[in-house]
Amino acid sequence: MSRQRPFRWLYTIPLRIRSLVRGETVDKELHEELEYHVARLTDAHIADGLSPRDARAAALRQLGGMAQRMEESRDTRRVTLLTDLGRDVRYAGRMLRRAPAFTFVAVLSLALGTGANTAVFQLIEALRLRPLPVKNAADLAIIRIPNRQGASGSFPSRYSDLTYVQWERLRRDQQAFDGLLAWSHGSLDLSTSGEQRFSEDSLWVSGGFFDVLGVRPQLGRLFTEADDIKGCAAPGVVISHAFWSREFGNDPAVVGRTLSANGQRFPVIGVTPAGFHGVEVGRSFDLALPLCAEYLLNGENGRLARDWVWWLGVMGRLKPGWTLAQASAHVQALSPALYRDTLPPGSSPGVITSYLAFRLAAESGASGFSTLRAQYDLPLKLLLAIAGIVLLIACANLANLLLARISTRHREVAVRLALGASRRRVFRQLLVESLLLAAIGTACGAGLAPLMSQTAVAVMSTQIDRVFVDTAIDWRVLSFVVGLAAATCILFGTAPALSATRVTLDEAMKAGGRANTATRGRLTARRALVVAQLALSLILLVSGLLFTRSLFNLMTADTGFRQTGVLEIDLDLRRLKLDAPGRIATRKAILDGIRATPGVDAAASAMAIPLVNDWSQTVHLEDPAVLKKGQSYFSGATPGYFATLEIPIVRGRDFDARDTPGSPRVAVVNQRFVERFIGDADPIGRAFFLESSGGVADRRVEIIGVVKNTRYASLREPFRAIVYLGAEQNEAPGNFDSILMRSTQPLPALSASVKRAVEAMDPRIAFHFHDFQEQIRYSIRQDRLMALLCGFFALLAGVLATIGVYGVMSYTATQRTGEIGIRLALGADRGTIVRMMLRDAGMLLAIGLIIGAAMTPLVTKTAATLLFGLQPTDAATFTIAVLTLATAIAASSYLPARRASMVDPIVALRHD
Amino acid sequence: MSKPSDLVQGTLDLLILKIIALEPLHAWAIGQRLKVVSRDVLQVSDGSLYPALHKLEQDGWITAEWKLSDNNRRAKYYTLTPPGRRHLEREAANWDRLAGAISRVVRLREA
Repeated sequence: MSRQRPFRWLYTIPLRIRSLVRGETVDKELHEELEYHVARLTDAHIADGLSPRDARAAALRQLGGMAQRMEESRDTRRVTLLTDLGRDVRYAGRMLRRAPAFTFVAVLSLALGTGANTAVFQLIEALRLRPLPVKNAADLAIIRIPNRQGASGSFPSRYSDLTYVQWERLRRDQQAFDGLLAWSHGSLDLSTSGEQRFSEDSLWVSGGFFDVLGVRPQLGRLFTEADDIKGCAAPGVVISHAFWSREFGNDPAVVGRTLSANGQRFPVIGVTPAGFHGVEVGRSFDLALPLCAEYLLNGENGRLARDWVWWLGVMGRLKPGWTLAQASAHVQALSPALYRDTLPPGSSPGVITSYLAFRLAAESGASGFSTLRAQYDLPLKLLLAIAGIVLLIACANLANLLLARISTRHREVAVRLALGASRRRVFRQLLVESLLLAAIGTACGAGLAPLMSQTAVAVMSTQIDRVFVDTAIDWRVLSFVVGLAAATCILFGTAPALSATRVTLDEAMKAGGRANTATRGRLTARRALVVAQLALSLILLVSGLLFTRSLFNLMTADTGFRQTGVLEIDLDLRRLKLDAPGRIATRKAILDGIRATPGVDAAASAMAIPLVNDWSQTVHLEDPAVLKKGQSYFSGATPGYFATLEIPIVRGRDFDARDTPGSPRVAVVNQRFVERFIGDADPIGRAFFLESSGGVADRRVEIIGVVKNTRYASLREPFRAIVYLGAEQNEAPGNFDSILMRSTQPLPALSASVKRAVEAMDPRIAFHFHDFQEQIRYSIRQDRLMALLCGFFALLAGVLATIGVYGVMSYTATQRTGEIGIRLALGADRGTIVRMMLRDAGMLLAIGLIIGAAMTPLVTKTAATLLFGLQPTDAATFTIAVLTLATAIAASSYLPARRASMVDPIVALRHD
Repeated sequence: MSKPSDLVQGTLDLLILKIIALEPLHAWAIGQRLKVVSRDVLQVSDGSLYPALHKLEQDGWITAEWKLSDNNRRAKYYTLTPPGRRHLEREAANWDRLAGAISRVVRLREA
């Protein structure tokens, strides 16, 4: 077709533009054209003998009305939709300004509803959907062992996918990628003496890291392969844009300045651009050092030097023409040789079997690495559902308010219909009002969203582990917001507009038009909306209460040890450059010094901090009669540890001065260990063997005491079997130590005096304080987030539902004023009237609650795994939710009911 | 405003295009011409001519300019555009086909 009419647009486009821009001129011409016709007709009629006036009247009649014809012609212009829209928007704006209270409530509830949705969506988008802000992120692949079960060694990184030797081998052999990068994270101490000051995540990166990602420097240069040569002596450091601003005040001459990391000085060689936060979503970084620098800082005890430390995440850029599946098959094919050649010496047979069976695979790396993604997957989906329900409630509320408003605008609608507006036209005009509301509300919501999402991020992160989520608004969020606005508009705007245009003229023009079928239909619609609101509110109240109570359970959960008033100090002795005997002596001296500090009631070293560290090894019992082998969890302690944390010793003794590096190895175990490995026999004096991993011979350990069970790695799991080894028996302790101390003093005062004491001993000792309880709270940050947000949403839902009920009850009361007047006149007392009205509200409440109760499990059952100490079907929670809602509703309907009953019968009967 | 002879739906456009194809005319004259040429069989109601004309104009088939008319008043004269001319040819051919087909059906003899 278009081939046959090549230039039609040459004629049509100028016409459209003219209609839009010079509408008045076009109208004037139209009028003139019709006027010409009328003049010719009039002439003809005059010629037929009519008087000029009659002739013109006849001519106009014949034409069928000037205005009607003009309207028909205008309709052919194809731009009426646009011009009318402009007029409608202006009119709608006027209507909204005239009802400021209504507009405020409407915009506020919409803003909160859409803001909550947008905020949750922003988080989901940032964690799941957004590609890494690097060149062609879609070509990136993560290479790892999908199921690394049975691996043995140390796993210090959040992405402990490969060891250094495995990485070297993979880089050498692979053909599928244009470049490979390896990285890990850690925290570097920026201080030069005394109390430590840690950077946010620091990155260890392979030389090709920035090249593979295609990141260009903001200043200076970034690493190349030449910077990452094993055994490098003086590498430089690359700093992030944020660190550059924070530490160097955006100094343009930063390149060449040096900074101290773990006591070593590194020259700054370059700065990364502002939008680059590394390859991990949910974190940012301060510094990046080449992998080889790890050896420089940590030496033989570091990650790089030891073949059984899994600390690297690996990513590659696919060669053109390679698919992800092909690359995955390729690395899988390389795996047997790779793992055969990198087997750590001295591994036990079981470890060897699983090590040789490992197979690498390639996964899409477009959106980077993230632990938050999996961790917050279910919570965020649940939150999106809940935020969606909040929005539904807000829409129901708004539809309700609009319906109430429409019933006061019947006359206006009727007049417009009588003046010749088509129903479609009126419907459209009312819809434009809703659209305007939706647009304003959503815009405010979009403004609120970053605030809400950043609050959520703040709840997710703590002092120890700073979460960074880039919640900038991009096109995905923007389209979500626009979609949201459209959906809300349709949800709350259609029904009122439809109901308004359903009026018949004669009925609407009758004064008041009370209690007729149309308004009854509207009242039913409003009641249905209230029922829906109540049902949805119940779901949210139950969810909010479930998460709040779950958090309460977690916070009050019995961990088996003391949490409050305990301070942790982490020590780093590396700057002292001590040999093993020196380290033993210094560690002992520091511990004694802390014990002597005023305010410290008890103190002890711990090799694994409860609920923070995780250390497991295989043990088997010595006595063949009760031979049992299995995994146990470990910690190490100096004498006084159990007293410090108030863990009761139920049998045997604590460690004491008898337990030295020279004496037989001893251990204290917990009750769960006894149950699992020994049974009813007396555990004291029994021995077990520690199965070694790194070539060290199995070691015999004798049990000297039994303590009560404590939580080990998580508040949520059952008690685990724990072995406490004697920390002072270690003949070669490391440079790091953690000391827990109990005090009745406020912790800030305590840390100040301990700080002075440690600094007085030796200023080269690096140290760092933690509030013990704060660290435990960290393990429940996800629960805090859920409780906070769900609680907030539940509150919001409750308030909206209360407003909704209040609105309907007030409206009903006004509608029934006449009826109530008659009842009062006939002798009904006011109490009866109030009861009558409340019965009405009670009915709505009952229906709403029944529907809500039926729907609640659909939402809450998905939350089962997130809850602690209660089931999603918890009866008490349910009862509290129902009672809360019922109380709120009773209060909000009592006021209008009472007001209705106070009416003067005379006034009421005169009412319309 | 009765309907002396209902125009087949959509044929008004064709008639207008054809009449304008002969010479540029204003709306009044188009109505008159239509009446005369069809020997009063085809009467377009005064009202319906204008929307039809404006629709053709907006579609780009015809274009208009203001000129002095025979009675010395400004009137809006419509002319065919080149695409309009092709459109007319197509529509006219369509009409011929349709009219021929219909008359063949109507003239069938009853057996």
